[in-house]
Amino acid sequence: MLAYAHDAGRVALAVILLLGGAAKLLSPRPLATLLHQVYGWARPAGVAAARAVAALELTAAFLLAGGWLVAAGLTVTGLVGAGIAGFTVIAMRRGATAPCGCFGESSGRPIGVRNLLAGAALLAGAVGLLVLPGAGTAEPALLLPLTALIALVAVMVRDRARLLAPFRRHFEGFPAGPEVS
Amino acid sequence: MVEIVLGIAVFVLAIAVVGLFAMMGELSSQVAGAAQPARLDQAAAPDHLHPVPEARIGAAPAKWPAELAAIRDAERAHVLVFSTTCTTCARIASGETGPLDLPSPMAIVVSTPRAAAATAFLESHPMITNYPHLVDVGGSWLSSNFEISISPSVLVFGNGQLLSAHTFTAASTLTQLPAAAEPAAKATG
Repeated sequence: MLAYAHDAGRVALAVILLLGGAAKLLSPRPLATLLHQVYGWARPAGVAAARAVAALELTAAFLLAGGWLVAAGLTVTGLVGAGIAGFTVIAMRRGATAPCGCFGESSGRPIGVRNLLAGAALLAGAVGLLVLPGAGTAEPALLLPLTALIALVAVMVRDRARLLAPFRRHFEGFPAGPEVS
Repeated sequence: MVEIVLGIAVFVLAIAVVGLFAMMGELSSQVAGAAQPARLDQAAAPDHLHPVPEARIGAAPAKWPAELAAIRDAERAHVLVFSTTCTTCARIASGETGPLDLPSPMAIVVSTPRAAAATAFLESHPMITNYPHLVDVGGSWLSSNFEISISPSVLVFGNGQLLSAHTFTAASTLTQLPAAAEPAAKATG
């Protein structure tokens, strides 16, 4: 039973890290803008920092999903979670209004309590798995594609409005009008 | 072994797709921000200047192009930034949204991916050539000195130092500039 809990926890953390890391890797600008607002960093430094965080997150996701060096993966996950929570507190104290673009989110919502909770949840999840007795038993050949699949489904569900928007007007019915007999 | 390699391939593919979604989200948020003033413009509602948050306020480039020498030396000067890939820039540069009424000295920077595109842009919009103008290939001068990578925008300089930067969608909006520029300069400097 504990083995299942380990595997499920690893997949959950890996999905979250994959979503955050992949988004920051290819779209580092929102976080770079936020770093500029909070610390006054120039854009290139902010972009480099965002991509460095993305590399950490993706490495941790890969280790957790693959089941290799799980303890190291969980440690990195905990550090990332603590970093997110700490940075959010600093940004909120300094009155930052820029969105962080975390996990690929593009609603434009400023950094806030949700980010703090997300960081704390990552930290708690990593610590929880580290102290949980036993170990996972699932094979990397199963967990790697499963993690990727859940992340893809999650991103498609989240961004469904954007995905469907180009098709909507073609598939929606014409406005109601008088019937022609 | 093959299963693991396939699993890694799917994992990398997921990274690419999630990243593409993030890029699409970033792009759509920028397009939405730019489209909103355009719709206001079409409805004859007033346009506004919007500060460029990432602009490096207070920056003073070590090296000024000869075309912008007057901007460097003036107590107060304005630079309009257009891009050859920007539809709104073309409308403004053609005079469709009104004359470019800014106090002298004023200059125009045309940011472009290729020099040939800038030549065509200048030929299509001769109003630009009435002012000192600089072709900034790749936007390198603007981005390296001021972190400006958005157009159309207007930069306000004082003695060669960037005081404020704003985006705009109609030339008529530029009349709001002195009032809008001073608080921005004070707030950041």
